[in-house]
Formats: sequence, C-alpha cells, structure tokens
Amino acid sequence: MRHAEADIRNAGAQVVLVGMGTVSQTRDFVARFEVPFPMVCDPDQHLYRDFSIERMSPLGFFSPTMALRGIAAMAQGHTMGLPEGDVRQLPGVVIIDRDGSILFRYESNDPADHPSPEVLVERLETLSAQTADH
Amino acid sequence: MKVPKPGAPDALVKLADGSHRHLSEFWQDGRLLLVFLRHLG
Repeated sequence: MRHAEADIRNAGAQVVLVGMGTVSQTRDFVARFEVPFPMVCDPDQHLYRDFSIERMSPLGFFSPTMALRGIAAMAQGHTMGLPEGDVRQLPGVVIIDRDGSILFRYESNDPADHPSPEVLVERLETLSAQTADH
Repeated sequence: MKVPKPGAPDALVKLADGSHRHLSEFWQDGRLLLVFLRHLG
C-alpha cells in the first residue's frame, strides 16, 4: 500500500489504516514497517463493528480455500506468526466521500483476501471520472 | 453494500500518537481510503 501512496494521493484520496492494537502496539507497528499513513488504534474493534467489517465463521479456518491460501503464502516465503488478537476478524476497505457518504466497500472473504493497491487506485480514478461527468 | 452505523464516518478515533481525531478531518478535503487490517497493528 505504501508504494501506491503517491498514486492514491493523485487520485484525490488519503489513506488511514485501522488496526486492532493498543497505542503502544500500533506505534511499534508504524515504526517497524515505516507506515507513512495515519493509523487508528481500535483494540475494542468499535470501528470495525460500526463499519460492519465482518468476522470469519469458526469453520472458515478449515475451508479448502484457506488451506490453499496458506500453502501459497508459504511458497512465497511467508511464515506464520503466532495468532494474536481477534484471529477471526477479517480485513476490509471503505472509501468515504467528501460529504461523509460511503462510495465503495471491499468485503474480504478470508484473512488473505485484499484488494491490490492498483485496484483501489483504479476505483478512485473511476469515482473521480464519474464525479467529473456530473 | 452494507451500511455503516449512523455517525461512523465521523467517529472519534485514537491515533498511534495517542491523539484523538474525528474521521471527518481526513475526508473533508478529499476522499478517504479507510483500510481495516486484520493485524493488531
């Protein structure tokens, strides 16, 4: 996401990340990964619930899709860390317009299901073009 | 498309530096890409 920062800004948006960590955990995360965006600490997941970001079903961990994604991740050199926090919480993306309305949502089907930054930039550019047409 | 709770787009949030901000501060001058992670952060 950080590599697409300029493209996202050029598309008329800014990024805010939301994580489930405390202030201390979030500060460590921001420093460790040199996160260039503001990051919200939401350890009680209020914001996740307010935006209806789904949690995975308990059986979701045992689905063939999850197994295949895990194998694919390991093949790419990723390792699994110890689970922390709410392991059933799914990620998601919401685009909020200048008037506070929701323009777009990406609802992840599993923990590894993310839209690529390129897809998000394309979506932002499409939204800007639609606005310009009106 | 799921609808957020009323007021959610202007929720008061706590940032990594410990400060509190309303989300509207981030979308008043442009669109906001709010990315929910599955990490603790």
